[in-house]
Amino acid sequence: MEKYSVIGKRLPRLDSIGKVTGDTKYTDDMLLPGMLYGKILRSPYSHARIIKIDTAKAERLPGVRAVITGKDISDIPHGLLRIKGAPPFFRDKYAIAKEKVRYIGDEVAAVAAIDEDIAMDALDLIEVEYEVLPAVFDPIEALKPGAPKVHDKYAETEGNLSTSTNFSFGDIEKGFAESDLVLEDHFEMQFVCHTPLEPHSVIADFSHSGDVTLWLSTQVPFLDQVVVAETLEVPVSRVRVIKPPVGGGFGGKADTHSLFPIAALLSKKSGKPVKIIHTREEELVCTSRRHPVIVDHKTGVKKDGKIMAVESKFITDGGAYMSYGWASIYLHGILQFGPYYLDNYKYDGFRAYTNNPYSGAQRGHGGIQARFVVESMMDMIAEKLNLDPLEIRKKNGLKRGVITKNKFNIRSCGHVESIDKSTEEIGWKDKWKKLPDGKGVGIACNFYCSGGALSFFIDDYPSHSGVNISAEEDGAFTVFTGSSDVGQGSETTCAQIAAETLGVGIDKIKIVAADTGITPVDFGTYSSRVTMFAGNATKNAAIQMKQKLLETAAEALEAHAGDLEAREGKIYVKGSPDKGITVTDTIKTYFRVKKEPLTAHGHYNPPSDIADVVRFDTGEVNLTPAFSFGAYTTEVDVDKETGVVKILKIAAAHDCGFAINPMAVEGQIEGCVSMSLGQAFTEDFRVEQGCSMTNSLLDYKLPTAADMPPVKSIIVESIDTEGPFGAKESSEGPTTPTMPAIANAIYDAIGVRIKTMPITPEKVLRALEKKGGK
Amino acid sequence: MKQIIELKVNGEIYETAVEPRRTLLEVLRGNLGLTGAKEACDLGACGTCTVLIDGKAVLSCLTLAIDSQGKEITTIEGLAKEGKLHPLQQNFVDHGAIQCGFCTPGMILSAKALLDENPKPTEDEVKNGISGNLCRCTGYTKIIEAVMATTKQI
Repeated sequence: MEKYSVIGKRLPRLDSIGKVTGDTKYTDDMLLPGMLYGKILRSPYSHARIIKIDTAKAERLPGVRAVITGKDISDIPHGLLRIKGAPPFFRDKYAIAKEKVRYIGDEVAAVAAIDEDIAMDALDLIEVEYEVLPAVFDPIEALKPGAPKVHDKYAETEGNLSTSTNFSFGDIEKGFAESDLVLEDHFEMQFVCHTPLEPHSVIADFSHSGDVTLWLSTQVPFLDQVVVAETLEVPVSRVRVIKPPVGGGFGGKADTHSLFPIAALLSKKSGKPVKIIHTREEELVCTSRRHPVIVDHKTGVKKDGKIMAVESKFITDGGAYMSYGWASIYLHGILQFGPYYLDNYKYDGFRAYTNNPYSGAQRGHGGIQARFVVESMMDMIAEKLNLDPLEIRKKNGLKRGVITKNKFNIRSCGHVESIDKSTEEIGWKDKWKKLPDGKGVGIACNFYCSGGALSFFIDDYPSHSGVNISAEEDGAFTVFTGSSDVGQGSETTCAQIAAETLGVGIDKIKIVAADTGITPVDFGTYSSRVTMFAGNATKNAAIQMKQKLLETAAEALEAHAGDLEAREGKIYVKGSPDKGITVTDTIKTYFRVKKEPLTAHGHYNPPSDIADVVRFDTGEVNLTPAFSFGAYTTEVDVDKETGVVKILKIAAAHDCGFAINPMAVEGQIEGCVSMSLGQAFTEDFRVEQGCSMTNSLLDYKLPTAADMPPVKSIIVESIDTEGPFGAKESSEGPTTPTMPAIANAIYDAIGVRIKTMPITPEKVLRALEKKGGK
Repeated sequence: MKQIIELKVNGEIYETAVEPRRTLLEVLRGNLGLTGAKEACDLGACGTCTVLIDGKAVLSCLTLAIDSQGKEITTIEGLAKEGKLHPLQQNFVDHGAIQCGFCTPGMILSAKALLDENPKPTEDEVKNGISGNLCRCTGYTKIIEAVMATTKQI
């Protein structure tokens, strides 16, 4: 008999029939009786003081039911973070601007009307008098004393320092002094956008009884509940957030967004439900995006490649607001610690406020930028020392059982196995340095967290997931999980975990998810946490349920519960699967004997050794229950006449601990590769003087099917001791090695190193010209 | 000024009042309650609004409803027959070609138009055939697999 019946299988998603038939109803597919349509008036200026707003004409337009401005909302800014001891500047945004607008797109007023056209017409009738202020668009200029101040009261210091992280450990002076080679270089990466195909969407219904119900396209319903309650000044318990199926998030829908409280306020004022759907332009410009970075990096190594010291400085453009910027600037630093040993390290990260659209968290948060820099440096160092890029990575690689100098606890590690499997798949031995001019191979490694351990919006919990299970009389189980499937397939993963633990088929599991009114608290979908956190909570709840089932069956079978096993819908004495009682009959027996519902609860908090270690001054932080590893190799063909880079293949090995559903893990790897190919080649959110040049999907170019090279997903299973059945993350880390692997392959192909993203043909040609001129 | 138009969608006749400027996408979603076609860019760049008109894949956000009269319109809701999924739908399910699902209706209909015209396409022809339909989740790999698997079955 196989070890597992349900997990480890390539099962289709539970929601797939609904999605191929058009049955699935997303937020914009739903209507409520009497529903109004909301639209938001946005600032045409990068930086201006609001002198006066006159909404009288808009209010008089037939069909308009409510108009609101900044004066209608509370004085509590709705920013994101509520970490214990965090300074107040982490919350720096009002749902609608009160005194100043800080970027082109900032919310100034909002309208609800009986249809969208009237709402749009009403926006044109709102008269706003602005006093235009000097603005700043460059993060380095913004940090200089005397630069126009984006925030009068929130910036940390003179200039526009939004937030900074500065820490060091070990002795970097000694580390560099003892190095045989010290290499310094400079890297830059661009703004890119999440671009889920479903724009941010909300329907809000503020009833006369004071209860507010919101249907949101979100990754974090329990965070939205808190934010909406605070912004509307109603008790949290009166706000119910329901997450319908969500059409992609990628981190953008983990943010706090103005349109949610705006819809709720319009509903309150009009007495009707209000729907707001972002236009694509709003989606691209008026939500957060990945931080662009400017990096100076210095690494010291011994002759044999051993890393002795690293000094790294990041300056990022945070745009007008904080969003997740506090976490971003921190993660850029700490995600450089792996997958390599690092004993001496200094990091200085500075996030600037500017009058650009704002930056936040995007898939691979912090790791994308850290890996591009570190993995490029590893190859540059290997070349200088005449070392094999595989060997330098293996030699410095972390191992299972290690607690790093900054307190990362490595409970599982598939670093070397990933390198071996990926390089074998691409044919590294026969290709590296051996392909004809113009062709080359490159490698880069992954290192990412399986969920952040810190809380940032409910003070008294660490990052937390809860699950309730109730047994039904037909032998099925309803799993109530607070977790948010936004397309990645976590509901199916959790159903597989529940079914395996309970000893039933997946057809016996029904998921009810992400409704703050009926499901237990779950912190949401971010930092690649759902399999680890909600998966463990599901497993724990199922273990509790199973115990009740076994105890009930034990009486019926006149056996000890400890001698029983549940598998494939039956409970029997271990070793005698022919005799026994079905799970369905066991549930019925429970109802008959106990005369009460059969329910169980389980939850998951990260191990206590984790959340207790957070030192912002030293970088000591055990931020996650488990780290993912991985290695990608790629083969490229560079046309030296045109500068066009063609990717021939990507061999993507990812250590996900254990694949609960291998088909879903492959899907995550392939999706991550595609998103990173976009950042590598075509995606570039361009802002000129604060004005977006890329505000449609014609200008902001996502990869298409025709752009996709063959991707071979390779699943490495290192069986983590903390993960459910050994599983770790697979949804964010796999974004991180793509870009540096390509940059390293281009170097192997044509001998030029690309240190800034995106890789355009012009950039490749310029680099070739420069090399030729030397 | 609204006028009464007649649309034939998935074999059924619908009579509805629309302003002449309304797109087929607006009328399908707003008037007929057929929400399988999605709006994601509203300028013909993403393919989520794809429907079939007389068997050809068409962007319903760029097509006027009044111009769609007298034609056979197929939306994703009309693809499964008598409770049985179309082979493309079944292969999307079995091959894991779906994640968030927002692109799925348009993607399947573009693939259907391709296979109806060219039942044995090469992989490159499939990639080009669905290149007007953006997917942000899957990286297309499993979508291409699902379409190629269908070519072997029909």
